[in-house]
Amino acid sequence: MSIDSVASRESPAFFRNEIVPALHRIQAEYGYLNRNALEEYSKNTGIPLYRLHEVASYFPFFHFKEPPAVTVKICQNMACHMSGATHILAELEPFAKENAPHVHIEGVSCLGRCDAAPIVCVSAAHKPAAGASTNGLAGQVLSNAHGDESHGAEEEFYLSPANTTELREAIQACLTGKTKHLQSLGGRHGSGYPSPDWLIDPYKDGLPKYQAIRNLLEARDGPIREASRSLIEQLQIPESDVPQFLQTLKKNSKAQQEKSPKWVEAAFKEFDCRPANGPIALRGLGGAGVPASQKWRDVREAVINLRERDLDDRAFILVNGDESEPGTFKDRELLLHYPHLVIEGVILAGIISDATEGFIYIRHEYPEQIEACEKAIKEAERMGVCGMNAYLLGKPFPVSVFVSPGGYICGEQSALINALEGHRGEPRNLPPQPQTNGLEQQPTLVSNVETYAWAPYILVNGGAQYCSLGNNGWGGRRFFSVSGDVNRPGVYEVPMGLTLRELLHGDQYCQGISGTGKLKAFAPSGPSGGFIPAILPSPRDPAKNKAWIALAARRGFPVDAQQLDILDMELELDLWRALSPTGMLGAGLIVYDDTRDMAEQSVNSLEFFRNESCGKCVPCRLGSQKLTNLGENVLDHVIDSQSWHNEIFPLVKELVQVMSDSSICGLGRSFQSPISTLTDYFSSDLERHLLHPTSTQ
Amino acid sequence: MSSFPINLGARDDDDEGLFSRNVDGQLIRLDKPTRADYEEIVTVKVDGQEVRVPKAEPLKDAQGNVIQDINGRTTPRYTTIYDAVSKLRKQHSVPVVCHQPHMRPVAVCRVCMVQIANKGRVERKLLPACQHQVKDGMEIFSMDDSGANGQRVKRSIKIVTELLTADALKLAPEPAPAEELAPFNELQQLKDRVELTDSRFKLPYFRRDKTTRPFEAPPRPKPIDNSSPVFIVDHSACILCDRCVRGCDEVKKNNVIARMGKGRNARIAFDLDDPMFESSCVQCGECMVSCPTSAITFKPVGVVQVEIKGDAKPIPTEDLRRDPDFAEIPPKFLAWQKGLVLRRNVKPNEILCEEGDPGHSAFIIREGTLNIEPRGVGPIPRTKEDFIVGEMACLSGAPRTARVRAATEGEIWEIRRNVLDRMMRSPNQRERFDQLYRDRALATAVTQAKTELFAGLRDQSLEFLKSNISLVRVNPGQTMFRQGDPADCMYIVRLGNVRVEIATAGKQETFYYVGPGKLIGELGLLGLQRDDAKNKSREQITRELIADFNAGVDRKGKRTGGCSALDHVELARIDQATFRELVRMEPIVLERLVDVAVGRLSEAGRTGMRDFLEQGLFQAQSLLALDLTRCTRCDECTKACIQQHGTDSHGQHITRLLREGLRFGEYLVATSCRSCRDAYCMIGCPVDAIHRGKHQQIVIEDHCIGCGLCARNCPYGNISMEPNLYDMIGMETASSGHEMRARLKAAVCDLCDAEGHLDKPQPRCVYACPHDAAHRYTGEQLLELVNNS
Repeated sequence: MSIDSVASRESPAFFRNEIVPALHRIQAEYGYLNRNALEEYSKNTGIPLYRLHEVASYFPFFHFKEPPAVTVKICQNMACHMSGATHILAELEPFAKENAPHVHIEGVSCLGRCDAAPIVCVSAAHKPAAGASTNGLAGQVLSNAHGDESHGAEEEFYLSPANTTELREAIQACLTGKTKHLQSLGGRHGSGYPSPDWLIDPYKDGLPKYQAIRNLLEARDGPIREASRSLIEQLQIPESDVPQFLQTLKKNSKAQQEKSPKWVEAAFKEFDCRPANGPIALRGLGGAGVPASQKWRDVREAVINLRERDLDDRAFILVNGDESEPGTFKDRELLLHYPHLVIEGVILAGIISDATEGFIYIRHEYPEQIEACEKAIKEAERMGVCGMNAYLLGKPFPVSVFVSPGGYICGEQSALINALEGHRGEPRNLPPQPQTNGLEQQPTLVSNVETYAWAPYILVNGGAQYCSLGNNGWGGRRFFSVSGDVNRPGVYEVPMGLTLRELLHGDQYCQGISGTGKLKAFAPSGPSGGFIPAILPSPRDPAKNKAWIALAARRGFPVDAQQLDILDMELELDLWRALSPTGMLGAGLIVYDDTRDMAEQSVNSLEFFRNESCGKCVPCRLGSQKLTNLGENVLDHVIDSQSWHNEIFPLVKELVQVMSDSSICGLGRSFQSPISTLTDYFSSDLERHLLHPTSTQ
Repeated sequence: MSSFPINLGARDDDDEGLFSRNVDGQLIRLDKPTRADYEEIVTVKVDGQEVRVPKAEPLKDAQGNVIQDINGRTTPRYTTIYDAVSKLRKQHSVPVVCHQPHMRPVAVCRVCMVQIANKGRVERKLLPACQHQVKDGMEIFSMDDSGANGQRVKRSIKIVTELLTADALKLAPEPAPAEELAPFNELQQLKDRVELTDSRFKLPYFRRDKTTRPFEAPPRPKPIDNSSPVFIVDHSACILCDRCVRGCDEVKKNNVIARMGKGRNARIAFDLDDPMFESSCVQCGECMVSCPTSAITFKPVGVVQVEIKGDAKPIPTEDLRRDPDFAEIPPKFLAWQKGLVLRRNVKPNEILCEEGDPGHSAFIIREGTLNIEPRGVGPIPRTKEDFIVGEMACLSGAPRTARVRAATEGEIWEIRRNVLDRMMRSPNQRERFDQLYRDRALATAVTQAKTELFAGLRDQSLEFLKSNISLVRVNPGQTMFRQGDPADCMYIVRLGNVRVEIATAGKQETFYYVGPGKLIGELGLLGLQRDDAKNKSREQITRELIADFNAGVDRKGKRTGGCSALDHVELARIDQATFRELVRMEPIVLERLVDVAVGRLSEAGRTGMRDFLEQGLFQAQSLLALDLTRCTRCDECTKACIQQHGTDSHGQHITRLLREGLRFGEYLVATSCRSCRDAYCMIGCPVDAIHRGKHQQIVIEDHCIGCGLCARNCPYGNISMEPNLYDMIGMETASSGHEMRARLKAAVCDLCDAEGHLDKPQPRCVYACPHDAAHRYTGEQLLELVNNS
C-alpha cells in the first residue's frame, strides 16, 4: 500500500471521487501542494481553484508549503497528555529552536495509539539514503512508487519515546537520513494482538473464510436454483456462472422485489436475538447503539423503493474507520488483524440491502491497517466475493479503501460522506438520513468497523450463541480500548456486562490502576462522555429506576444505597444510558488516578473539541472558542469564584444548552459532558483554580 | 442527578426527526420534488396559527426569475418553514442571517432556528427554518411564540446572536465609510430584533490575551486584505455565513471564493488564499453586496459615481433605504454606487423618452400621470397605481416601444437597469413585476403580430386572446421542439430569434430564422404538411381547413421543423383550445393564418443561412463588413479608428476594431462591435456602465470598474479589456499611499458617436477606407448582398 497506489487506483465504476486522489497525487509528487501543479490540474479538469483549496485547506494532511526537513507531531489529548506530552514539548523546544527552520514541532489531535502514550509522529521530508528502511506509509511511497529519484517523498514514524533524549536522537536520525533503526509503531509495540481469547473471528479454527456470505447466498439463491435446476442443466451453465444467471432470471422476472424475503428476515432475526435481560445482539458499536438490522433494513427499503420507480438505484456500504476520538483505538486492531471480517460484514450488508459498492474509510494515520485491508480485499476478490467479478454474488460488488485525509469530525457519518465525495468534511443538515440520501444522494449505510466485524460471527454461529457470550445476563461481546492510569493499557474484547472492576483489575485485562493505584475518575467515551467519579451518587428516584434495582440485585447492594461504586457498573450501553450522568459508553475508556486534576483534564477535552470543530455552524465554531478560552483562563487562576458562580456559570449552562439544541451535528453537544461532570463531581478541582476573596487575617 | 438541564441519557447520535418515517415506519427518502407537489397543500401551524402552503414552489434563479422550459414548465423546490412563516408574516418572518431568498439555503448561522412538534411530541433539536421542508401537520414555534417552545427558541437565537456579535460586530476598517455603513450591518439589526443590549461573551473571561497552556496555539490571525483598490476584506468581521461564497460561485458563477481552513481557523479565501486583487477575482462587487457584516466593504475612492444628465437629483441612500420599494435592495449596493436613482420633477408635456430610444432606465411614478403613446394608438395613462413604466425596454435591452410623455406635473424616480435587477431579486417585488411584465409583454406580443394576424379584431376578441395566452422564456441554444413532435400550440415571437431547421431526406438543413413579431409553429397547429403547397392551391388548403375546423376534426398536426432559440427568446404561447375559440369569434384569423402558412411553405431557402446563424450575424444592427474583392489590407480603417478615439477613454491609444474575422461570402466581418439586437454584453453589469447609445450602439461609461463581465459575455470577442491609464475611480489617498484606479476598462466600438451628437452615425473606419471596401450593414443587408451577388 502506498499513497500513490491510493491516488492512482482506478476505482470501480459506480462512484469516483476526483479531487482528494488528485491532491494525494500532487502532494506525493512534490511533498506539498505545489501551486503550479494545482493550477495545471485546475486548467486541465475545469475544476476551479477554489474547489481544490477549500478541500485541501480543510484537512490537516495536506499542506501548501514545502515542509521542513523534520516535522514532529506530538499528540496532546487525554492519555498522551497524561503521560507527559507537555514535558516532551517543553524539553524539545530549545532543540527545535536550535535546528530551526529544519525542525518543526506541533501539538496535534489524537494519533490513535493511546496505549503506548505519549505518541509522537516524526516525519522526514528529505530524501533518505538509498536502501533505507521504509517503514510507514510515506516510506513505502518512496520505495514502491518513486524509487530513489523522488524529491518530495516523506517518511513517517510513530514513536513512543521513553524520554526526550530518545526522541531527539530519532529526529537527528531523520535529519541525517539514517532512519534504518527506527521502528514505527503499529499496535502496542507490535505485540499482544490479537489476543488468543478473542472470539470475534469465526474462522480461526479452520472454517474457510467468508462462510457467512456463502450461507447467506445459499439462503437467497437456494430455492430459485432448485426451481430452475432443469433450466440450468438444459443450458449447461457452468457452476461458477450460476449465481449470475439466477440474478438475471430474477431481474427479468417482472415480479416485484420482495420487501422482506425469508432469507433477509432470517439474517435479521439472528442480529435481533435477545439475551435474558438485554437488548438485541447487534447494535451500532460506534457509540449510538442503533440496531444494525434497522439501518440495514432502511437501506434495503430505500433501494427497493428506487428500483420500483425505475430510478438510479445505486447504494453504498461505508465502513467508518475514521476512529479519531482520543482514547479510542480498538478499530485499529480489528482492521489490522481481521480485515476479512470487516470486508465480509460490508459484503453481507451489500447482499442484504442490494447495494452496489463498499468503501472502507480509514484514517491516514493507520498505514498498516490500510495495507492489511487492501491485501484482504485482493484476497476476497480472488475468492469471488467482491470486486467487479464477484462471481459468487452474481453481480459486481467492488470494495475499496478510502484513505481519509484526516480529522475527528470526519467520523460523523454525513461528514464522512462529504469527505468521500470530495467536499469539505463538514456534517450535513439532517434529515434526510444517509440511509436514504447518502453518498451522491443514494441510499448509504455508514457503520462502525466493529459492527461489520461481528456480523460474520453472528451469521455463522447464530445470534443465540453470540448472546450467550455475555456476563450478568447481558448478551455478546465487544471491544474496548483502555488507556490512562492502568497497568496494562490496550485493546480488550470483553463479554458485555463485565464489571468495570474486572476490566480494570482483572489479570487478563488491565491488571490494576497505575500511579497511586486509586481510581479518581473514569472517562467512559473518550472526551465526549465526561468524567465519572469513582463513587457515583445514586439516581434521583432509585426505587423507580428499573436498571438501578436490577443492578442492585445483581451486585448485592441495597436499593436505597446513596451511592454506587463505579467499579460495580457493568459495561453495557443500556445500563450506562440509564445510570450514568452522561448516558454514554463508547469504546475509548480512560482511567484517572487520584492525583489527576480533573479541571485540567476537562480543559484538555474542550481544547480537543475546539480544535476539531469543523467551523460550519456558528454555535459550535464560536461557542467552542468561548468555552475553551474560559477554561484556559480558569487554569490561569484569573477568574474569581464569585463571578464564576454569579455570572459565568449560568451563562455557560445556557451556552452548552444552545450548542446542543442548535448545532448541526453531535459535536456541538459534546462540550457539555466534560464541563457538567467537572462541576458536578469534581468541584473542588475547579475551585482550586478560582480566586477566592482572601480571608481577613 | 446533574445540575445541567439536558438529559444526555437519551442521546442518540443518529438523530431522526419526528417526520423522518412514514406510517409504515419506513425512512422517507428525500426525492427531487415534482410539479405535482405544487398542487399538494401542506397545512402547518405557526405559533398556533394555521397556514396552508403548497408542498413545493417553483425554483428561481439568482435573479429571481422563475426557471422555465419551453413549455412553461418550472422546476419545483420544496417549500421550507421559512417560506411558510414568511407567507403568514410578510414583515416579521423568522430572523435570518445566512439565508437569502435568491440563494441556496445552507443553514449555517443557526439564527433562523425554530422548534417543531408533531401531535404534541416535541423535536429534541431545534431546526433551521431556512432549510427544513414543511410537512403536513407540522407545528412550528418561532421566537414569537409566547409559550415554553418560543422561550427555548428565543434563548437559542439570543445566545447565537451574542456569539455572533461578540467579536464580529464592528465598524468597517479604514478607509471604508464606516459610519455610513454601520446602520446597515445586519448583526446590529439582529441584535435590535432580539432586544440584546450587549453580548456577554465580550467579557474578559471569554477572551484569551496571552498563551500559557503548553500546546496552546493562538488562532491564526485574521488580517485585513487591502489589496483591491475598490474593496476591503476584514476577516475578523466575517461570520462565515457563506453569502459571498454563494454570491461569487453560484449567483455570478465567477468561481473565486470559498471557505478555507477548519474550525476556529476557518475563513473565506480567494482562489488559493491569494490577496483579493491578485486572485482571479474580477471585482464585480457581488461579494461585498452580499456580505451582511463589515467583513467586505468598499473604499470611498471605489465609490462609483454615475454621471447624471439633465436636472435630475440623485436620491440619498438613506432615503432609499426607508422607501418600501427599495428596502430589500442591499443598502451597501446603493451606498457604493451613487446616482443610480434620480428624482425628476416633470412638467406637463415633458417627454421622458421617444419610441426607438435605447431604454436603459425605468420610471417609477411617485406623483402625477404619464402617458404612454405607442404609434397609432391613443395615449395610455399610467399613474402611481401602475407603479412603473419603461421597465420592459430596461429589462430586455430592446429599444423603447413607445413615447412616454408627462400628462401632468409629477415626480418620477428614474432607476438604472442594475437597480431594477436588484429589485427583482426580492420575492415580494418580483411577484409584482412578474405580473406587470407578463401583462404588458403579452399585450405587446399581440400588438406586434397585429398587422399580420389580428388587425381589425374586436376589442373583446383581443382581450380574450390576451388573457388566454401565456408567456414563455427560452434560453439561448435551448430546443423548443423537434421536427415530428406532436403540435398543440403556436407561438408569437416577442423577443429574440428562433432557428428553424428542417430535415430533408435525413440530412439536416437550416432553413430560416424567425424574429420578433413573427409566428412559429403555425403549420403544425393547422396540421399542414411541408409539401402541401406544392400539391394544392391556397384556396384548396383553406377550404379543407375550414371544413375540418367546422366538423371539429383533429388534424393531429406534427411539427414540420425543429425550433431552437438563437438568443434570449420570449414567446407568447397560443394553445389549440384558445386558437379554436378565437377562430370561432373571428373566422378571418384562420384565413390570415393560412396565408402566413402558405407563404412560409413557399419560402425559398437562402444560401449561407447556416453560417449566417452560426456566426450570429442575424443579431447585427451595424456590423463592419470588408469587401474582400476591394480590400487591399492597407489597414487605414484601423488607423482611423485609433486616431478617432484618441486617448480620451483609457489614457492611451486603443483600437476598437481588428481587421480580422470570419468570412461570410466575399466579405470579411471584422472584429468590431455589431450592436447586437440581443446584446449579451449588457447582461449583469454590476455598476450598469454599459449602455446603448442613440443609434443602438454599445457605449461604455467612465465608471466601468473593469470586471470584464461584458467582454466575457460577448460571443464574438468584440469587447476588449484594456489597461486604464487614467485615474478613473479615485485619487491618491493618504492612508494607502498608492494610486487607486480600475486596472482595466472595457473598450468597444461606439460608431464614433458615443454622445449621440449626430443624427446618423459616421464611423471613421468606413469613411477612411480609400477603396470603398469597408461598410456598415445590418445582418439582413449583408445576407441580401451575399445572396444577390
